[in-house]
Amino acid sequence: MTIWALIPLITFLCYVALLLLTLPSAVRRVNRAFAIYLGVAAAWSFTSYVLHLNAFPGQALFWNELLVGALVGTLSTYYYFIRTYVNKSAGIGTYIGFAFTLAITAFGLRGYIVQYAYVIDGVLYHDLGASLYLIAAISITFIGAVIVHLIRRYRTAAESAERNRTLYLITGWMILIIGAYTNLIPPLARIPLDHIGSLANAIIISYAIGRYRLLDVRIVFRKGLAYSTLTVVLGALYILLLFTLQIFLHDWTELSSIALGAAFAFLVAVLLNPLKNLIQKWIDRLFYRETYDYRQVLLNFSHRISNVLDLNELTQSILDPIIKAMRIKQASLLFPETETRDFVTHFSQNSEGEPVLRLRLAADSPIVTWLEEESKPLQTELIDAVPRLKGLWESERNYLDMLQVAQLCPIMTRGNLTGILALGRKESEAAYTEEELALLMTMANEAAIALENARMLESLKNQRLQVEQLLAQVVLAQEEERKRISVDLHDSVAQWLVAASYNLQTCRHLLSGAPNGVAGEELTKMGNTLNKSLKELRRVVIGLRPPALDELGLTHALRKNVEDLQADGLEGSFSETGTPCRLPPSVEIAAYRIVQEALNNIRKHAHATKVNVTVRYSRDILSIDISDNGAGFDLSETMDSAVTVGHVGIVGMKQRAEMLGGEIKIRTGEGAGTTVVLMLPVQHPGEE
Amino acid sequence: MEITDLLKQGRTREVWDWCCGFIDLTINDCMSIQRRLLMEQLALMKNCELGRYILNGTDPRTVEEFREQVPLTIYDDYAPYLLNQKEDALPAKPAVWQYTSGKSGEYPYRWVPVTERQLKEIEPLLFALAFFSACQNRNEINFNMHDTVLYGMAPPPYATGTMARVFPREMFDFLPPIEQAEKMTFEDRMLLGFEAALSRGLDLGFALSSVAVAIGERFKQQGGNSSISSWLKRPQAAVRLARGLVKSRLEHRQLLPKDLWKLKGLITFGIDSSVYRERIKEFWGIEPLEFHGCTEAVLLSMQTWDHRSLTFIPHLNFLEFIPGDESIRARTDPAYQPSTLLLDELVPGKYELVITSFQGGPFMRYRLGHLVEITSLRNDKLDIDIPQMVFLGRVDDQLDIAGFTRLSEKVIWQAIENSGLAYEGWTACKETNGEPALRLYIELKENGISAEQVATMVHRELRKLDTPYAELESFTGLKPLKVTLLPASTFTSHEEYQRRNGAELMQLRPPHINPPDEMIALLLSHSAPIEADARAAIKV
Repeated sequence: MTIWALIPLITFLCYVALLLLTLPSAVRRVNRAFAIYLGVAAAWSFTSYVLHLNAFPGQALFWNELLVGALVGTLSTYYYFIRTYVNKSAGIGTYIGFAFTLAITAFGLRGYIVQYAYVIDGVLYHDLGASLYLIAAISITFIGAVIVHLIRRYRTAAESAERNRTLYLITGWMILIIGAYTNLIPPLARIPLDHIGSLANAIIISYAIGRYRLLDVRIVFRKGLAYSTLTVVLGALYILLLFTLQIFLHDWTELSSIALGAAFAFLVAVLLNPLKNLIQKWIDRLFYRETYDYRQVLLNFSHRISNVLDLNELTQSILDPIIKAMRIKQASLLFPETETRDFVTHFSQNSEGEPVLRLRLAADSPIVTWLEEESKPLQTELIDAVPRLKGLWESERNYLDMLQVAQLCPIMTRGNLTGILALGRKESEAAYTEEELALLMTMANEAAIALENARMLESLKNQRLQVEQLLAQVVLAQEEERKRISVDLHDSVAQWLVAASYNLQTCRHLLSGAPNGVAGEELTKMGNTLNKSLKELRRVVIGLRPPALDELGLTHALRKNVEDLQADGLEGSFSETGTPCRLPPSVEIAAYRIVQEALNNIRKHAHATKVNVTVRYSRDILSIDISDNGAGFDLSETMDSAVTVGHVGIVGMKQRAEMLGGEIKIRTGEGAGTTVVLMLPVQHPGEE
Repeated sequence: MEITDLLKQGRTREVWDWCCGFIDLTINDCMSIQRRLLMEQLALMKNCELGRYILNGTDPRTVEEFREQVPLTIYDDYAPYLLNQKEDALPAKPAVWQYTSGKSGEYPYRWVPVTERQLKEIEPLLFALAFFSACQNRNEINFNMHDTVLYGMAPPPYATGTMARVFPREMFDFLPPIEQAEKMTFEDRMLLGFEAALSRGLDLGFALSSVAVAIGERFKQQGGNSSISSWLKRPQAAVRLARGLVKSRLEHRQLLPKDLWKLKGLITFGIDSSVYRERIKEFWGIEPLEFHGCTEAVLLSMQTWDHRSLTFIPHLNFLEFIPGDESIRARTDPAYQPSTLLLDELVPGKYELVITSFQGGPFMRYRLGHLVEITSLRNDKLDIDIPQMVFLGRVDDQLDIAGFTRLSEKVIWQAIENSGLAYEGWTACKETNGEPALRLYIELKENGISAEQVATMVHRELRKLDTPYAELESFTGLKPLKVTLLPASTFTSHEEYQRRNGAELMQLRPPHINPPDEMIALLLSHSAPIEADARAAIKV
């Protein structure tokens, strides 16, 4: 085999591969026309290959005649393909072309076209006689017609992608024509330069198919192209090796043939996978250029998001690569509002960091219904082409236009629409390709579960926050009520008891000269009762709301509490560090109540003799230690049984602290006493 | 993205969905669209003077409240705003104003605004008309860029003129171009159109049914004569004409439009579309595609490629239907508010149409006065899940004969047509002196047929077409048809007279049903008529 046979062989293989990839989508008229062209072009290359290989010595004339027919057929079928590409009917020109092809082939086989043809060392020597000029003249008509159609198409194309597609076709066609017309130059006519042009055209068309959706063939095209290229490369390598070895090894033995065959097979096996990956990567890079790396990022997306539970972080992980990979201006994630169920922008990102306007899609919007039912992306530019969206309001359409939303991708979880990915236009203003949309949907599906989990977590957090806020309000209301009762008792019952006490003293004074000692005794008893009542009432009033806390502050109120321990036989000590200051009322009352509860626990359960309370003031934290030398207790057991037994004191202390963003630590053990450490963040008045 | 962009890219499926996709909607989809667009329209109406006037203090928030609270309206309710073109009072700024000639005693014209959004919605529907007229199957688009259209509709500001303006001119080449055509008389426009069509060919006809028939008639009368020869200015025209002549001669008949052009589609408009169907087919070689619309509603329904009943368009107007008996009761008792049905509540039968404009149009629960028949709730053959209808005529164009039957304009017309009489024009009214009678004034094209014969022929056809009419005779022996033959040129003279007095295109001829007494007197004044009635004729 010569190098001149290798060129049409590779071209033939390319065309066959393209044909196989195009056939499944040949339902469309334009794809069908393209498939016909590929078939005829493959026949042209094949005849040239056979001719240059000189596979059938003595039949060169026959193969050359077939080659001429196939060449003319290639031109006329390409003309037909271009007619369909520009949405025209086949037209009379196509039929003339087909008829001309048949005529040339028929006349050729009768020996009227090619005068003579033979091959020496892979070089073709032939003469087409006067018919060459006839073929050239008619071919020029088709070539010109193709160029005119393509240029017109280029001029009327509305989209840049459309213009690009057409430009590729023009370029490919020009190269093919230049190659074909080398046949008119006698020295060049012997070598298959026309097939180099044809091969270039095939490659350019393949690229345009993959990059610009020239024919809207399936997504597998890219994969198929990789495997085809692999086949061609390995095939060419194999032939090249055989060819080389044929030159150097003249004396073939059966053993050497088997050994070499095995060696080749081994080589191919070793090369297959790395070569396939290399070619696939090369083709992907070729098609996607600079966005290739981001596509890889997208493909690894599911792996990356699997462990992310923070909604902000997750959305960032979704929007960022999409914006970069697709080269779009902005992207937003919409989630349903709890109350209205309207889908509203929760997160958005702009490629240039500019703010993105919030999008809202009403719960009853036909878009929402359509996305949920169809589970596929909606191109906003084609909203009018979706009959079910006829009910869209003008304001909704204008809104989408104003926000420059190009695609809306549904995010579905268990068949329900849980989110919408709203994508802006591409920076290039080109349309989204089918592959990009498929990729987006894959991402959306993978993100759906993660987003759902993250949103549930977020929702739980919010619920918890609401519960805490509610609890804080309850506590606040409780404190207010206690304060009101305390004041009421102080201002009414306490005053009446004091008045009664005064009245008693007056009575005693009046009876002081009288002989009735029994009445005096009764008055004394009554006085004692009144004093006890007043004392108890004062204790209750202070318990409800220590006036000292409001009037003199936390330190004073706590010190008073510690001093009161003596009444219960406990030795209390109180100390403070830092600079005492007035804290927000919520902090002071919370600290007071927690210490109060801790001291009550010591009184009731600790069997302690000594209690120490230390208050530490710092810039941001209020810290209070309450320690005793009592019996201690099993903390975990107490915590476990707190709710079931109804002993919620410690739990209440913790909740109070946590409501203010603080915490409580308890160190205790059987016989080791107990230390409660309370830490509360302090926000001074006027601080945010 | 425009429809023509998609067409250029060969994305025909998307084009079909855009324009014709409404026929693929389920009835539930239709109702969702109806309800949603009504809510949008209500919001617009509540914010404008006209809307507040019509709503009269009510604040409907649901479709049900809307139907309960908002009264039915007629043009009188809108006249103060629309006749004076008070744009500030309307729900949306009009893009164009169109009119229809009012009936006698009303206004000279009924002006109606059309908004930009309405026009935008109409454009794909015009594509749909064209596609349906030329296809045999779903998703089949048989037009190419720059196919030619012959435009035989009334010019702006008539509604059909608005439609012609909206017609996608990037796709279709009008013969002559619309801008040029609008400045010409109807005759000149048609003549120039034919000249151009002879050279360039003709792909689509868009004409009033009567015009399509008139053209065919003219061909029949003038085929191959000098008037056609005078159109010969270019070789293509000569070739086309020669080919047509050969074809007609081979079939031993006069030259017809179908010999010159192989139309892809023919769209016709008018109550007479179904009456003239066969003749149009004979002249043009293609079955016409009808649509139903009017100035106030623009487009209401259209035929599809089976050329049978019409499919409602759900996204241009909110549609309500007054059942036939309710409609009659409401007309006899103006205070009575008839109940209405919605699209998904219909059963086959006759109804009066009530519309509420969408997309910022002005009408709300507006009685169009159109009587339609719901023929079926869906088109099983083409799998269209939207109720199917035929237009019967105007509600007030019904002639009540002795309470037995209500003859519509269409039935009478069809009877005349089926009788095989060649006529120039006709009009009919009810006479109530003594026995109830249907008086038909008709001008024949041929002499030698007596009024009695005409009465016999039409009476026979009416009996076939209208069972209650036939029963009237069977049960009571009453033969209500009376015929007055008008002398030749009566209608031409009348048209001339009307034209001289500045009448509009649509007012040149008397209405077919119940013309005013003065108009009948005027018609009769042109010459002495000959009278006969069906009973006398039958006796003969």
